[in-house]
Amino acid sequence: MKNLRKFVEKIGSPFSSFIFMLGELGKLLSMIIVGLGYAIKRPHLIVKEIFFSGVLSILIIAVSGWFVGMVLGLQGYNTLQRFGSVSVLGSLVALALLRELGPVLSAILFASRAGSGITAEIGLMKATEQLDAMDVMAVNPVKRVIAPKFIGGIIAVPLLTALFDSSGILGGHFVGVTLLQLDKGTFWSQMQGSVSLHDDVINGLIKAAIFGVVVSLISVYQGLQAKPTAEGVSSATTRTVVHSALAVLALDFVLTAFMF
Amino acid sequence: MKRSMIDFWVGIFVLIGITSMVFLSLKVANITSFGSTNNSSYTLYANFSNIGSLKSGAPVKISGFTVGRVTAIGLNPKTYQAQVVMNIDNNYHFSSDSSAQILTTGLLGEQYVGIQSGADDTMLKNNDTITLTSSAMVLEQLIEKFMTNMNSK
Amino acid sequence: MKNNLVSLSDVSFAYSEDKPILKSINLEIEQGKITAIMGGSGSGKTTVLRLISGQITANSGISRVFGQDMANLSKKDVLKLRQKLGMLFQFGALFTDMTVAENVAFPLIENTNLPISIIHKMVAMKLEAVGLTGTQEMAPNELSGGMARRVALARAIALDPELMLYDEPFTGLDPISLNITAMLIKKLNDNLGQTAVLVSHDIEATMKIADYVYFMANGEIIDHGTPTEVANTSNPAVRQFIRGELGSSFSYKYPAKNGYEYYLGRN
Repeated sequence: MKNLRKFVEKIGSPFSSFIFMLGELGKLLSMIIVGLGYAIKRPHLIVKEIFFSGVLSILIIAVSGWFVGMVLGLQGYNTLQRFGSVSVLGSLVALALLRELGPVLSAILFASRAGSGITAEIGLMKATEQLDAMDVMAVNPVKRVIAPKFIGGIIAVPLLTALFDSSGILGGHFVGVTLLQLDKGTFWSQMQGSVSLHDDVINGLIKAAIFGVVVSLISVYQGLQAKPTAEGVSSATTRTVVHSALAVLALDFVLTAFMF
Repeated sequence: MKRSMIDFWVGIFVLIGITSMVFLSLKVANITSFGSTNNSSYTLYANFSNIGSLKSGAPVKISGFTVGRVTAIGLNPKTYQAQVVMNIDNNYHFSSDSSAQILTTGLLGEQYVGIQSGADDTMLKNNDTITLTSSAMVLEQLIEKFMTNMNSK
Repeated sequence: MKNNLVSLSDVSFAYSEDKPILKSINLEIEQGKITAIMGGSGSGKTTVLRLISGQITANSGISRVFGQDMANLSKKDVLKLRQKLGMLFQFGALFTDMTVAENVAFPLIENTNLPISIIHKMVAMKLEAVGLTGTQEMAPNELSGGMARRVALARAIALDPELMLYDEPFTGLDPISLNITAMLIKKLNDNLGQTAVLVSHDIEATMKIADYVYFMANGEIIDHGTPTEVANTSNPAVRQFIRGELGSSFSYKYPAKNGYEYYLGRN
């Protein structure tokens, strides 16, 4: 009987800790929203965060997008060739990138490139008592440190996603048109014929913005949660990447079901 | 790093992002062909007994040249025919006995509306309906026809 | 006892119920004096500072800072109160993403509406007070430990607080930096009439500058008095602490927990 109870408790505890974490995230989000006004009045803080999370991610996003687009072009070509419809390669590449791969991969790359950095920075600031020092100086660290990082992430992710999409489409174009000698006009006109501005481009960017919110929130939360030790900070950065990836993939399914 | 340097790079980043968005909307999604409320276009209707898998946004072509797009598809509740609304570029006009047909690019490609011009002198005006239509070619029906022909032989 | 800036009476605090950190503390801090709180690691000294700065609130008892009962203060009042106190953290806690000058200017920019030219002058003044005029454009990681501590001191006194809290200001400093820091604390107290609370386990430096000393062990105050009184105390634990002897009064063994036994028993 006792063992049975332990067993049920074991099943239950991940759920209860998950729900507890959701509650904590919600609380943090509301605190950040209260702090938004403060952060917006100090745009240079946000600009600095966009620099660290956005500008420094340009290269990895552009290169990853390019390669993903090339792979899509190559695989798409091989598959479509069997059905004699290589002419739709352009729309295949564009739709795959705009609807799913662009937002999802950009968000996951952002989490590992910038999100983990945000977590580590906040964790170290906590470990070295910088957040306490700010608090004692009558400055709310959520407003001064967390909110700008959060806003920076939300601005950076859709922009990075647009870059990822464009770079990927050019990569697909490179494989399809330059390497495999498809007709350039067909490639673009097929793409333009099947890609809708609202359904594909804008919805994809809305997805990216939502992912930006989620990844940024997880990053700052894990930073604040981190135990103030070297090990605590390192495991918090790992958790940021893992939780962000899971959250983005799960949320992607939900959003796709609602949007498209 | 100096603040002005950070500002500079963030400016470049935002420019890259916005350029990408413009590229996606203009070059990839072709925003220009979506001018449904454009002044330089007029609306035509056509009723079909079967539209196959025609979707709104599909091109309207004459001799293979795109002259407009399908903007809406509805059902006429009396005749149970599908009513297709098309936006046609103002530069192109067709005679009133033109016929519309739903065609497919390739064997399995996307469907579009093909228009064949007639010989009448009067031209179709805004909100006119094309009366001569032939429906989409549905693969199952073709196969069925083929099979019955085979059997009857 | 009207001119006591801080008074704690019967204050208890615990993060979780089974592990009390402070047990019925009584403590008075007189205006214009340097009061030291001494004791071994984990005796609850830093917790006392966190109570005074309002980072945590007591579970029971009355804690008054500037005559106000901390339990009744709203969030806004706590922020107002904090502008009147400065705190020096154990390792300085300088903001690593700002220069030295930006660090010192931080409380001025955030809590006042002074024009930037005046802030420049005040930053220069504060840095001069700690003898580090030339470091303005340096990053905190370019500073030595002692210099970082002094920059943090300059930042803590930027708003000329009436009450200064020092959390282990001498930890990890070489003897020279340690004496410089001690001298600065004394000088600030003498020249500006600042009240200071000094948490430390460095006997020598603390005894030299403190006006009054409290000794803590295991969350309780075990002795208090002027440095000379304390030095000649009869309390064996304090004597042991001052001389750094190994003995029975301070236990260095941490009692085994139930959980640990539980795991042993299970195997």
